[in-house]
Amino acid sequence: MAKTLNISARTLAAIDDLSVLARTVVEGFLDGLHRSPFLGYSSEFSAYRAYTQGDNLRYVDWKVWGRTDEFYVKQFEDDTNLRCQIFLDTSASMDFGREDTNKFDYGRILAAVLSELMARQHDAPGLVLFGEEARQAVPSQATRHHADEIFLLLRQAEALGGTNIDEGLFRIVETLSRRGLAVVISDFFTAGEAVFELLRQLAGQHQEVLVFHLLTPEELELPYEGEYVFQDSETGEELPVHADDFRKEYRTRLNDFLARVKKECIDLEIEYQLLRTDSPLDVALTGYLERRAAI
Amino acid sequence: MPAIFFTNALMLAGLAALAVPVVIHLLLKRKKQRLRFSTIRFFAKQDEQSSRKRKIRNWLLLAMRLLLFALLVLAFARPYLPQAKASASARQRRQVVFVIDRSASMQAADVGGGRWSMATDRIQKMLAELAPEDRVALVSCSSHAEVLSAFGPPAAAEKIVRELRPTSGAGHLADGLAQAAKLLTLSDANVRSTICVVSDFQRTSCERLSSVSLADAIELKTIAVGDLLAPNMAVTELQSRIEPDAQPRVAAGNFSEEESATGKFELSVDGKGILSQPLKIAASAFTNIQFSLPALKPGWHEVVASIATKDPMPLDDRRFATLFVVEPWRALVVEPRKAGRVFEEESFFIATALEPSKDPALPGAFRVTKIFPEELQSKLAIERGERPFNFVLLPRLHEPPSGIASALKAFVEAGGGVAFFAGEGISANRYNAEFRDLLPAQLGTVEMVSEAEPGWRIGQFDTNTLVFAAFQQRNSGDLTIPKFTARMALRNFDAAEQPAFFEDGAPLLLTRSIGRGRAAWINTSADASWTDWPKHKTFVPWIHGLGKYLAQSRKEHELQQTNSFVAGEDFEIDMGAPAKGSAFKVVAPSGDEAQVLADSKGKLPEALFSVPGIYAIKNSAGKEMRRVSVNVPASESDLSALAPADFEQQIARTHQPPKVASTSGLFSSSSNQNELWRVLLLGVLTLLFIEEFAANRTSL
Repeated sequence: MAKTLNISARTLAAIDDLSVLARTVVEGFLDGLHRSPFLGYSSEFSAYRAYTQGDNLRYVDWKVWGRTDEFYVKQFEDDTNLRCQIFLDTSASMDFGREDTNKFDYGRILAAVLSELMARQHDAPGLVLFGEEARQAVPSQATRHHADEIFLLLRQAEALGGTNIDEGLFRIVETLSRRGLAVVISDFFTAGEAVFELLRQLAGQHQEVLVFHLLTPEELELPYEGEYVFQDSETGEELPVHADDFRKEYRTRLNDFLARVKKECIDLEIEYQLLRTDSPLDVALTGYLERRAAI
Repeated sequence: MPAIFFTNALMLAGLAALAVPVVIHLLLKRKKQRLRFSTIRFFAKQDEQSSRKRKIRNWLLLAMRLLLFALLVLAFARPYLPQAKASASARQRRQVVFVIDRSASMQAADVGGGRWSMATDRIQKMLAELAPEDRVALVSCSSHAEVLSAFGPPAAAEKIVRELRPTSGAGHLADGLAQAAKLLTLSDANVRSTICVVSDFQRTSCERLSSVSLADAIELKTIAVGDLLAPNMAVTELQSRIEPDAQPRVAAGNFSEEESATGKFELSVDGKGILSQPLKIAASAFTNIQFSLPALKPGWHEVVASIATKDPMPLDDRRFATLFVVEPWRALVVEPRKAGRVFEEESFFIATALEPSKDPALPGAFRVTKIFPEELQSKLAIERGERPFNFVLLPRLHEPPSGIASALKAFVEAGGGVAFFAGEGISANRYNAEFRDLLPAQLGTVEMVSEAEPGWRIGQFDTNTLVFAAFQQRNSGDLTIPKFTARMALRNFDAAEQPAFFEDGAPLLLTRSIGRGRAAWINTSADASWTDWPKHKTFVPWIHGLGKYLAQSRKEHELQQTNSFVAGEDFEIDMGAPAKGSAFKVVAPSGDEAQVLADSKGKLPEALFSVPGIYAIKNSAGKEMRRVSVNVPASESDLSALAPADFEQQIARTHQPPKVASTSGLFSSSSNQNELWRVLLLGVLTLLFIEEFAANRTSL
């Protein structure tokens, strides 16, 4: 049972060095687990199988050959660690919320922490940023300091522009030929059905998809009083709204939207996790580990 | 569209305050804040609709607040709708209280006609102008103000007025107004209230007006009858008392600013003229006419003084008085000396002092019978239960005849009186033995004053006793002048009453009560042998006082004094406690007779004695028990009047918020206008309620 990670997002945001931050969070998190969650290369023997042409001779069990004169190859749980792609939404709508509950900051920290956690267990974290345009920021790789690259990119990332889930992003998804884990961190505020198309694509590529749906408390509750001109952070469109009068209707509409996203995820057998940006990160990490274990 | 008027038009300047909500609205109008939000996809167009609604609501709220202010200002300006006079259906109901002056002066007749008939004509005319739904009350205003009829239809009031007559009493309009104000206070304030005073506004009726205060909502109308200045002559006083120091007289007055015309003054006693003379009185002056009453027989008499003149008010040209002449007391004077000439008689002075004349036409207070001592016993015999004499005076008796002592004792015990005089030759032992049951003291030796001394004089005497009552007033005679040269030494007189002493303290007069009667010892002679008192003028009143004391006289003048009454005032005719519940017959001046019962205190009701004149009160046996006179109050004779405007000015007006009955609606009515401020305030309250509800509503 995981202990609550008592590091608030505000504290994390104050730490400039994302690698230090990620490691601190991960170690703190792992200290709380009774059993090590690490899996992977040479840690867990799985089975023997007959050697076939093309197998790496490194994995031939020579002791077995010496006793039986047969070539057997040792097979482990996963001889190569899991590829994990983190899809981080960098659209302008993510850059919303007060300093301590900023959605983009929370997303970046979450991505960093997940990367560190993946690196620790020899998985291969990769990072895809999608916003105005999609790009494969860091490919999945299980090298020792791979996470540092991700941290560096996350630190440099900015939330700008709209959310274009288009061919560019789909091409990146298509490259995920191996079965792996895809973590989508987004507020899902995109136009039309594009975001659901992304999820379908990921599911179609045999990826175990974990969705972290980030929303700030302001978005969830609309705590404003009086009349405001609300400006869309992505389109710049403006709409005068009387917050008091419209709060009830807003919440209804938002809940409808959340239900729609969740339903879509359930339909695609995608793990869905709604995260308030004022909630601790361990909720997300626990969700990841549980999903990881299922693979 | 009826015109609206404002009581406080200046308050309309307060409409400038309408700018206040506008300014507040503009100042408080929140500038819309621009807020960058992640997405506005959830803020659909619908909120624009609500925004429009909200804007409309805000403008409506502003309009409501402006209207609220405007209504408040208008309410303070007190707008009203003048009542349409023509519309009979919209006519305001009226309640009228007629205060009717019924004082004696309303019986006067001026050049224009009789005041009372003018008054009733005017009242009936006003009653005819009232609508059947109006209400009328009548207040009579005479010596007492009384409500003749509470609020009722005009027709009922008209019937009462028709049968109403003026009284002979004085008028007090202030009391009548107070009664009227009380009636209106108790009634519905939403009708138009009027007090209508019908009077000649005689000045004497208008006293204490400042003590009355009327609410300013009450309309005060005055209907004046009679002239402001009406010259009037009157007999204002008739003094017919027979008193030693009170000369009968008549007072007559001229209530005019001009000298009166020559009238004829007449005075009659029992209908027989005793004085007639022309009478002319200066402007605003009074005159006294003194007269002497003729010798009157014992019993009741009536005196009437009148002036024959042409003036508006004949009622006060006559004045009445009654008097009672008492029966003379019968005195038995014993003359011991059988002298040839009257002045040589021992009893000459006392008998002459008691009855100066034997003329039956001039009866005095005493009737004297002189007898010799031997006749005394037979004279004192009681006949048919009545004593033939009231008292006996006994000058010195050298030898009292036998038997007279017991006869005198029986006489005194039965209620008679006896007085013993000292004198030369009295045997003290014989007197002490014979009259021991009658004498207030034991007699001793004769004391003579020496030649060198001037003689004894009277020292102290008690004027509270009936014997010396005549000397109560100053200058009623100097009792220290008489000299006394001899007297008798007296013993054992402590139990006796001692009304008078000599200067040296020796008793001059001793009295005692025996049975129902009285006995007295006068320590000097009845003639001038021991004193010169009989030669002084104080002797006669003193001997009269002694006679009354012995006869146990009532104060008849007091009886006479209470026989004169003023019409309209509170009085009771006291027939004495024994008369309680007895039936009496009252003969009015008109000759009408009325049977009446005395109440539990023996008093007769005053209501029977309302008309000026002479009333005879007889008992059931027909014997005249009393005769009383009733006169017009002298104050009614002055007919000078107040102008109605002056009358109205003297009455204080107070502002009282009108009482509004629960059914009276929202329009308060004053005399001729419908005030609208309540409607406006109701509107303000309604708007406040709506505003409170609308302003605090957070969603549409």
